Amino acid sequence: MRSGIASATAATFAANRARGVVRFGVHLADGVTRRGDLHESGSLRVRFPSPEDDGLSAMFVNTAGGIAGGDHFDIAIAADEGARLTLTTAAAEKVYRAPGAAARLDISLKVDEGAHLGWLPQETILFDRARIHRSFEIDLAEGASLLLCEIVVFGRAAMGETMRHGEFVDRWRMRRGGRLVFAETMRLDGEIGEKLARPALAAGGTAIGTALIVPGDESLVERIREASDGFGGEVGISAWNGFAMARFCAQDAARLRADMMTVLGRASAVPLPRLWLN
Amino acid sequence: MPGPRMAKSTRMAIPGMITPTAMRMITAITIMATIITMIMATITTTSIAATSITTVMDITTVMGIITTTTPMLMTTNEPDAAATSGGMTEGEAAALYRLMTWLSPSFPVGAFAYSSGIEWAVEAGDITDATSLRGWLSAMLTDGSGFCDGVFLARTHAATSAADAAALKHIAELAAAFVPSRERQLETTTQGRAFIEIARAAWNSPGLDTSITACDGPIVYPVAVGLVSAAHGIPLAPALHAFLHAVVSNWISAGSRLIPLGQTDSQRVLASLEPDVAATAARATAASLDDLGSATFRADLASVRHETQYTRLFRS
Repeated sequence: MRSGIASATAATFAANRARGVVRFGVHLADGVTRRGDLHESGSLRVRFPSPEDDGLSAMFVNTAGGIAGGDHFDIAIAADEGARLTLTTAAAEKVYRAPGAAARLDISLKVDEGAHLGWLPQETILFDRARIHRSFEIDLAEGASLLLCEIVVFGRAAMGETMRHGEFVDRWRMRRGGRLVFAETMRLDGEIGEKLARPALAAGGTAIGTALIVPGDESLVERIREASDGFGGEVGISAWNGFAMARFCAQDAARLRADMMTVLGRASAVPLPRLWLN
Repeated sequence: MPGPRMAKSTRMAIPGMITPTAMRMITAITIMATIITMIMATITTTSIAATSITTVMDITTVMGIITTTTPMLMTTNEPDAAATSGGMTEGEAAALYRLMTWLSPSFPVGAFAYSSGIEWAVEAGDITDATSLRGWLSAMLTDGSGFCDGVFLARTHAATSAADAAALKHIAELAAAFVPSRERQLETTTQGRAFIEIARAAWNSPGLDTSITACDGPIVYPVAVGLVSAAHGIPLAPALHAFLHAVVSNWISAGSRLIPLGQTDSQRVLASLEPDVAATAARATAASLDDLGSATFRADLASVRHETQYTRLFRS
């Protein structure tokens, strides 16, 4: 009887899992970046606020209000030759407790010669027992430009919540001119709280972040390092294979966000999405 | 491809251990240690004492693996080749000899110049003594580059043994991109390149060049070790254990110089990490490339921040 109810609950749960797809491309027409066909389905939507001087802006809205176990979101964005596009999210993305399957988020970004893509979402917050597998496939032409940031917060420290258990798998593959220049898989599972306490992992920090800047070289790294004195958390920046990467680890999300804004501000002349400044 | 240089029978690790043989084995280890220490003493110009200690550890660790991975007891009374040569077949002896050479601190890949960010961790106060060093290294092994490099070595070994050129190219490319900083890239790329060059010059074997060509790009350190071991017909288990042992020993060597830590404390750390190495090797052996993963955010950060360290002994 109990198992009958349990399986019925599981079935209801599975039937209610969100599926979201956003696929679109941008191209240059008469010197202005225009959007091509937009494919949107499920709870994931994208909005294009009023045009700004420097290319097109787009904002993701997850009408489901967060990501739960079993959800599957698919995002594919392409910027054609010379186009400029900046993407962000309307709010921090929350990943809730997953009793069954892990949530999946597959992101594919393609940037052509002379095009620029800014991928600047607000932070992703993992609740206790959240389970998510993310994948980033980034394909850049030799002369493409990318400014990307990702912040992951383990539990809402400000709300007195911590993430003790769960699963976080973050797979990154970035190609430039067809060559794989950066690959990484972050994998944190099981007793996440205990693991994050270890000095080689996060020394009790609850927020980590990554910024990728392409092209990126030593002069860019030097320019960002000049701001080191003002960092509230730990920040490191390195350049190799033609790109620069900044890494962040902080005790809380607010500090990491401030450090990220400093780095992004120095990495690019393009102003950050206004939503970041709230 | 690849044609192993050793006789076919020797490629199977069947030690056939019984207690009297174990006694002979200990003698063999002692003799072997003496011979190889003497060889190394002629090669190395620095740290002869330290090298000897590490050499003995190398032997015990590697032998431990070889004798335990196939727990097959001899049940017949017929004398076999292993027993008459002191508990080791000709192939096992060759594998031991080669692994001890290639993964010795005196093998000229320049491992001593790299600390994998440990120099920064000591500077920042994250590593202050044997206990904190052990904790940091255990994480790097199980949740960091140790495990990932183990997976790359294991997959390369399998692809080389199967003469799968496409798989080799894929693994080599992924492993070369799988680094968290410029200095870690330098560390694994220069050691891999040196390992391959020395193998071609002094330890060539049929099929080695074909496998190197198949990689079609830079060959990083774990890929180089997996490729050359497989080309020599050396089984994965001892190759992987010897590699992880070399990596951990090098981390400890860097840590002990920086903290500083006495030789006995360094040995205690190495001894205490033996189960971590065994567990990491077991996980890496069973893992596919999809199982790769690390979580040592601050150890990675340390390798990035090391670039700005004002006074430094190491290149990473």
